[in-house]
Amino acid sequence: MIQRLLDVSLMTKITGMVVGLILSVIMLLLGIFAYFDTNQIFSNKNDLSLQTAKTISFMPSVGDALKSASPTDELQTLTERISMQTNADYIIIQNRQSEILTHPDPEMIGEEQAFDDGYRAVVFGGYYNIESDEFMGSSIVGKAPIYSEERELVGIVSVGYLKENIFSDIIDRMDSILYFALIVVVIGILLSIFLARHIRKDTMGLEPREIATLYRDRDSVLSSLNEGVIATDAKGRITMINRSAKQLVNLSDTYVNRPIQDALPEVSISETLERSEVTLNNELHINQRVIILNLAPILDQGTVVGAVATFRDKTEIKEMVNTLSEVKKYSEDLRAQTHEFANKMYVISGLLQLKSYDEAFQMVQKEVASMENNNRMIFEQISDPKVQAILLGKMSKASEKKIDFIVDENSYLNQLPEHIEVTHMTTIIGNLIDNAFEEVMSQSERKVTFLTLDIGKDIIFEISDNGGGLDDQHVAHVFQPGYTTKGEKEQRGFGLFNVKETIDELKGDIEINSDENGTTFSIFLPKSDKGGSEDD
Amino acid sequence: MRKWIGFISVLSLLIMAGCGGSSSGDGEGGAEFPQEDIEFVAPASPGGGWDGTARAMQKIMSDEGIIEENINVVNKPGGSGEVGWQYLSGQDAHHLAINSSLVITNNLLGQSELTYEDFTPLGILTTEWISVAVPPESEFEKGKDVMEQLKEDPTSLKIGVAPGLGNNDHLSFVQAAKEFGVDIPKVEFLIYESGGDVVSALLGGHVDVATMSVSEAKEQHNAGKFNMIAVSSEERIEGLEGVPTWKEQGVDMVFPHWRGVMGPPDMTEEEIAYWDDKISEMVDSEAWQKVLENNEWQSFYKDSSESKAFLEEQTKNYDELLSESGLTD
Repeated sequence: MIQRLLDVSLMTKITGMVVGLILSVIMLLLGIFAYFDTNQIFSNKNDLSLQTAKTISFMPSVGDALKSASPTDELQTLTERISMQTNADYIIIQNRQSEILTHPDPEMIGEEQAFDDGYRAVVFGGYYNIESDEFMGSSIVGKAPIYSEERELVGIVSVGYLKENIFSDIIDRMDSILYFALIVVVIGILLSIFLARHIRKDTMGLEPREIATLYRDRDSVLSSLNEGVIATDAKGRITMINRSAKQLVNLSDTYVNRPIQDALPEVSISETLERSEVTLNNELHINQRVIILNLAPILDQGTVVGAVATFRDKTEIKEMVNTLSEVKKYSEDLRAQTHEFANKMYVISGLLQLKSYDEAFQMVQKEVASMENNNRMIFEQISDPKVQAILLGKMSKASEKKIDFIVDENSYLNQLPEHIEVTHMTTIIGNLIDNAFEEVMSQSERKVTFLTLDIGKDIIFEISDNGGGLDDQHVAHVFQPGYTTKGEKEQRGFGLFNVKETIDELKGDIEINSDENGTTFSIFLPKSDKGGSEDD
Repeated sequence: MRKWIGFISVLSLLIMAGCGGSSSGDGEGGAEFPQEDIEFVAPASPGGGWDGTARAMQKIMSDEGIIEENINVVNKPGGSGEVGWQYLSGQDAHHLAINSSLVITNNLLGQSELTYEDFTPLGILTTEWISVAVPPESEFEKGKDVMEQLKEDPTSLKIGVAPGLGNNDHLSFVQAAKEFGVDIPKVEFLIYESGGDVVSALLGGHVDVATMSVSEAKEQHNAGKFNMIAVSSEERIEGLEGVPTWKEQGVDMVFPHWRGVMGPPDMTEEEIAYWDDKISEMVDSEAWQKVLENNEWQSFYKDSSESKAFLEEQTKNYDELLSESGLTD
């Protein structure tokens, strides 16, 4: 029931509450006022009736009149005049024989009324108030004894105010206050409607419960996003950071309510806020990551009330692309191997048709020896299957491209530690070997050497080519993202940057030696992921 | 706003501290009480019971050396004690007044705004008994006879009383009449200024019956000028063995007429203790016993705190007496 009562619109709720409040306050005040007013009026009537009774009893003429033969003639005029002035409903004088001598109703004159409520006055000469209904209904009465000149008690006077008249007086007074209260209630209703409207405007016409739902939804939507989202107000202070944003650029909720420059000094949002411009796909380097940033203003009826920044990690995207191209390369390498193998089969088949059995036999012998030599090197001296796989692939590619790819006979490698994964190896070795292959393509004698050593705390890879070498300028920029010595047609240049990133991640080192006779890349990877290079 | 509240509370604290300071100053003054002449107020003209009590106190306290300061008696007659008590309420603790049941009944009958609560009760001293007297030639020999006559015809007798309706003399008579089933509102009382006037009225034949205290009637009774035919005491009074009590006549009523002393309102503990000390010393003196004997008064001593309780209880009693309508029987 209460639930249903509360389940109403904001306007109804506010209006209901304000009206309820005003009504209860008014009722309370009215009640208190009526209580005190009633008390006040009763006490006034008590005082007035007693005063009037005393005044009449002290008049010498009244005492004298009571001793005379026909007191009514004299007294009735007097009491009527006094009751006009004091608004008393009745002034009744009785003699000792309890006979009524004056009464507003002339027919009552001469009747007897026993001294029940008048006992204290007639016996003890008391002056007092009493609530009595012996005359004309329930009333507040003041009683006083009347003495003659000889100090003899000759009668009593009762001055009365009827209670029904007092109450109607009180109700009359309450009437005007009720009108006033009504006006206050009306003003209260109008104000509460105005207040409710105002609140609705602030909440864009949404009910509080809808706002709560929106807020809850926004939170879960934002935290489920892979994109980082940061919102600011019109002054550029952060109002919200979602979960991905915290991870991507390493922020915490402590940045909320601080200028966005504190969190991301690289981001400039002043243009977005001032000119409400939308910036898309802006590349930035934050925390050694490439971030693609979108900035958009938050508009409310054409006014900028804030900005929202969304961003993705471009390095992450690139890594995915690289891995994909790596896989593509392997399939090409395999295709090359198959092609090479098919060529050799055609030659052998031709030799067999020409019946040159010796030559065919020699060719097979030679192929087997070459394979065995290479495979022995790879399988016996390099125990890590990841590196084996990469080398075998590159071997076939080299064979197709007529490159002399030599695994140094001094190479030796144990199983790689667990923290070095296959993606690390494909990125480092794969990229460097491919780069070396491309470097030597322009040479007449194409030679690429691969050496790996597993000494002490470090694993060493060395990839040498006999290409044209790099000049010093190139060496300085070779690890920057987007740098390439290759043609500008393709979106490339991240190969060596990625190599460097991966090596940094494994806490290793890379050295480049380059002269006109070729280039040698030397990579040192610590076996422990705690970083062994500190001992070097 | 906050500032103002702070300011006001500091101010009120200062005022309270000021008040505390001045009242403790009074307390210190009380240690040296009394500092000036003492004054006893008799709220009636000389010659009555109040005046007699005040003068007896003055004499004993001075003669016995109970109080070294000068003691004066002032008479403030009028309004059944009202004038004297009104005067007392504006004085300090060097002023005392004699009181009696009128301090209660005046208020109950709407004749005064003052009650005992507007003063500091210091003690109840004496009580005496109330008598009904008739002229010697009267046909009535006992109170009972008067009442039976009144029952027959309530207007047939005129009864003298002083100084006003509702005092002890009047109340005791009404109380007794009620027991006999008299139609009280019809009974005619003539009111005189003082007990002396009532005696004169009775001697002069202006009234048929009079009600007055024993001390006021005793002299004339002993002289054979009129007859006491009933007293309101428990037992017959020593020296007046011929007068029967109301109890003997079948009216279960004992009605004392007590007198006491009270001081102005707001007396300090020290001042009250001082008077308790002095009054109890006076009450114990032999001279006081003599005064009681001479006036037909009984000792009825109650100290200040007992007096307060007594007055409270009496107020309840009188309120009942005055409120009972004549039709209770």
